[in-house]
Parts: sequence; C-alpha cells; structure tokens
Amino acid sequence: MTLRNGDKLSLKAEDGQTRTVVLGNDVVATWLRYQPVLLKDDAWTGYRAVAAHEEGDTVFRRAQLIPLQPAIRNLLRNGTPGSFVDIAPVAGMLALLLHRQVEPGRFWRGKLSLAGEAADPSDAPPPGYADYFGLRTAARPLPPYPVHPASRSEAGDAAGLAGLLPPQIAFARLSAHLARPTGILLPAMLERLAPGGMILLADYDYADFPGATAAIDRLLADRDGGLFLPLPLGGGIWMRN
Amino acid sequence: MTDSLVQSWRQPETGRLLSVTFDWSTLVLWDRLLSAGRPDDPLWADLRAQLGLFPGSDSVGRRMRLLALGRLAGAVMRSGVAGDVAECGCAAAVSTTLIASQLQRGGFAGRLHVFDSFEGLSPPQAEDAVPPDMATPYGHQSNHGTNRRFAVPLDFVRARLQAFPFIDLYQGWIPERFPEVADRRFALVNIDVDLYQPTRDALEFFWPRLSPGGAVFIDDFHIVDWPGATRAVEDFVDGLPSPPAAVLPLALGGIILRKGDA
Repeated sequence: MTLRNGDKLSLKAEDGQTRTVVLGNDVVATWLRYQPVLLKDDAWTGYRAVAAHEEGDTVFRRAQLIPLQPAIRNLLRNGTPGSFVDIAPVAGMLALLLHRQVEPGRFWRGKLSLAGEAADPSDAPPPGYADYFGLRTAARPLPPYPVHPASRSEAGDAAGLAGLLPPQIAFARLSAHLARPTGILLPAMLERLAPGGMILLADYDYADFPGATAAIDRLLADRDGGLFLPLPLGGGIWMRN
Repeated sequence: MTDSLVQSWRQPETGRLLSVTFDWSTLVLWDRLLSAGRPDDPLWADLRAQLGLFPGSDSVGRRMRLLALGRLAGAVMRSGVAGDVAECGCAAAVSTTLIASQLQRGGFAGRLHVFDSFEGLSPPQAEDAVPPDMATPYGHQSNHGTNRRFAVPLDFVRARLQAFPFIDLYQGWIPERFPEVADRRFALVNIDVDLYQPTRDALEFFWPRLSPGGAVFIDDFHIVDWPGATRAVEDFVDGLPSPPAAVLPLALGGIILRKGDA
C-alpha cells in the first residue's frame, strides 16, 4: 500500500461509527522516512535494537521511545547523577535503548513479579475492550533482554523491588501494569529521583492498563516539585525540578 | 480478528520497503484523538471544538501536537510556575484558544501575549530550504511560496478570542513588538512561526525571561516542511551556556524545552 500526502484513514469503532483522519506530510514523510534521518545514528540504533528484540516496530513504540533519546542526551549533558532504573515484568528495555549513550554500570533493572497480585477494581478494562476495532492484543511472550555484566539486576514483587532501589535515580522507566504495584513503586522512585531527573511511566493512557493510569493520576495530580506531561500516544513523563 | 494493521511504504530513492505497525493500543488512542477522548478531561472537548472549525488544517500530527501543547499548558498551570504566557504565530488562533481555555480553567491571573504579522510568513532564508531529496516523495508539496496561506486577518482573530479578556494581540513581524514585553516573566511560550529566523529570534528573546520550571513549546520541530525551525532550535540549544533542564521532542513533531530552577 502506498500512502500519499492527504490520504485519509478511516476506522470503524465499536459504537458502529466510522472515524476518519487525514494523514498529512507529518505522518507520511516524518514517520517513515525523515525521522531516521533527523534522529541521528545513536538514537535510531537504540530504537532499532529494541524493535528487533520485541519483533515489532510499532507506532506506539516509536511514539514513546524515540523521544527519550534526545531527552536522555540532555539529561547526561546536565550531569544528572544516579542510576537508570527499569522496572517491568520483562525489564531491560532501557539498557538496550540507551546502550550507546549510558555507561553499563549505571543501569539497574528490576524484574517485577505480578504473581499473586490482586487486581484493583480500577484495573478492569473498559467495556467493549476486546472487540475494539475488531482487534485484540497480541499475546506473544517477550524474550528476556540481554544483560550487560556491569549492570545490576534484581527480581521480586513490588514491595521487594521498592526496598532494593538504588539510592539515587537519574532516569527511570516504570511499567508495572496494575494499580497496586504502580502505587508502591512510583512513590519509592519519586523519593530517590535526582533534581532534573525523569520518570517514564510507560503504562499511562495505555488501554490495557487503566488501573496503572488511575494510580499515576492519583499520585501525581497535586504533586509539587516537578511537571507531569502525558505523551500524545500513551505514556507520560514526570520531570523533577 | 487481527492484531494490528501494517502500513508499508517503498522509499522512492532506494527502493527499500519501510513499514510500521499500527498496533492495537495505538488504534484505541487514535480513536480518542478522532472522537470522544477521555470523558473526564475537558481538554479533549476543547480540542474537538477547534478542529471542527478548521477541518482543512487537521491531521493526526496536528492533533497530537495540539494535544501535547494543551496538556503542557495545563501542567504548567498546575505546577504554579509564575509568569505570563506568550505565543508567537497564532494564524487562525486554534492553538491560542486551546491554551487560553486551559489557562482560564486553571484560574490564570496573568496575561497571554500573542504575536503575529497577520500577513502570513516572512521570506524564508537558506536554512529553510527543504532538501531536494525530501521534496517529492509521498506526494510531498512544500509550503514554501505559499506564505499568504497563513495570513489571517487581525479582526477575525480578535473576534475569535473575545471570550478571553486576558489576551493581548501584537501585530507585527517578529521580533518588532517583543520590546513591549521585555520587562515581563513567562511561565509558558508557544512558538509556531515555521521559519529559521523568527524561531531563533523568539527563543533568544523569551528563554532568558522564562521563569524557573517554565517551558517553551516549538510546534515546527522535526516537521518536514519546516527544516529551518528544527535547525533554529538545535542551534539555540547548542549555544546555551547551560542546557535546558529537560528537552522532550514529540514523536510526530514538536519539542518542549523546560527551564530548570535558578
């Protein structure tokens, strides 16, 4: 299929209505062709490594991960101290994404166990979830990420990992999926975040994880000392002053 | 049932097939952009109202950048950063209305200063030239040479913004009218002037006047039509003696520069 500037994409939603959006130069050219040129080698290389590992180069993944590279470059330029923390059921994406920019000894990954985790009512998916656009979530198990021997690796449930976090964090990625572990781990990360540090809340606004989104809203809505910015295609960034 | 939609493009110069997957979650989020949004978030209603008025300027990328700008305005308000708000380049005041709505909802007590020629764009310079190999693929049509396209009469804009008494409009080529706000501090600045020189001039003027914790949003960053704006941001940031506290480009264009404390 060839898309041209001004082409329209129409989708039929679960309420039976068709929604149409115009794909302008910004999508057709920027996304597919111009972006790799603009984002320079190190940024694109890290992203490509993640996409290859996860067997998917998706719009969602690009939207969330590609902007991180210049953000991290600026954070390093500022000399922000601390570790690069990555907590998720399959953790380690951050090291793969940023392996050209950050020294391996600064990476700290926490493999989060959700076994026995009781779901909060807010974790329930919205009505019509399963048939949204007639699509469904892929259920492929993700292989473990490669681990550099210099990086530190831990495993445990949310409370266990919160107790093991490094004393200072420069950048963190949290993808705990559910409300309760998000509610345990995010405050612990915020406490340790260095001035000028950032946290990527990977589950925010992601349709699979409404409980995590609600927990993040609760924790950050009135929090001082920083700024929370949801990203347009999901995920959100907390930037500490 | 399918997991996703895969869109592929053949790169004209190399013949390589490039593809990207519109996965399930993306489509759900796009549907929010296309229709109802988050029912508990009034920003979506503001965004829909604006896009409905100007369907010709609508696209996925534009929606995403407007959404990010509106959210940034709300976040800056909530974080209590002191100062006025400024916008350079308002065209039909779509973004102005979106910012003003968030400010009004947050009980904004300052002024929103809006700078525009109301006569379209100033002449481009060498930095603004779209590289030749970017000019034709995908039906790309350069916006250069169509500068009057962005000329919206001052009276029209004034009428659109009459619900917001805290807005001041400044007609003139950037940076002619900037000295009139030289003694002000700013919490948020939106720059959407497409070309190298006015983007650079706006950054040079407003960055020193930005309050700690404040932010600048540059709409044209990484937009194919406007390489000069991208270059202006890169040159400006590279030349700063002290880097911004945060640099956050968005995936479909636009970038946020945030200033640190002190």
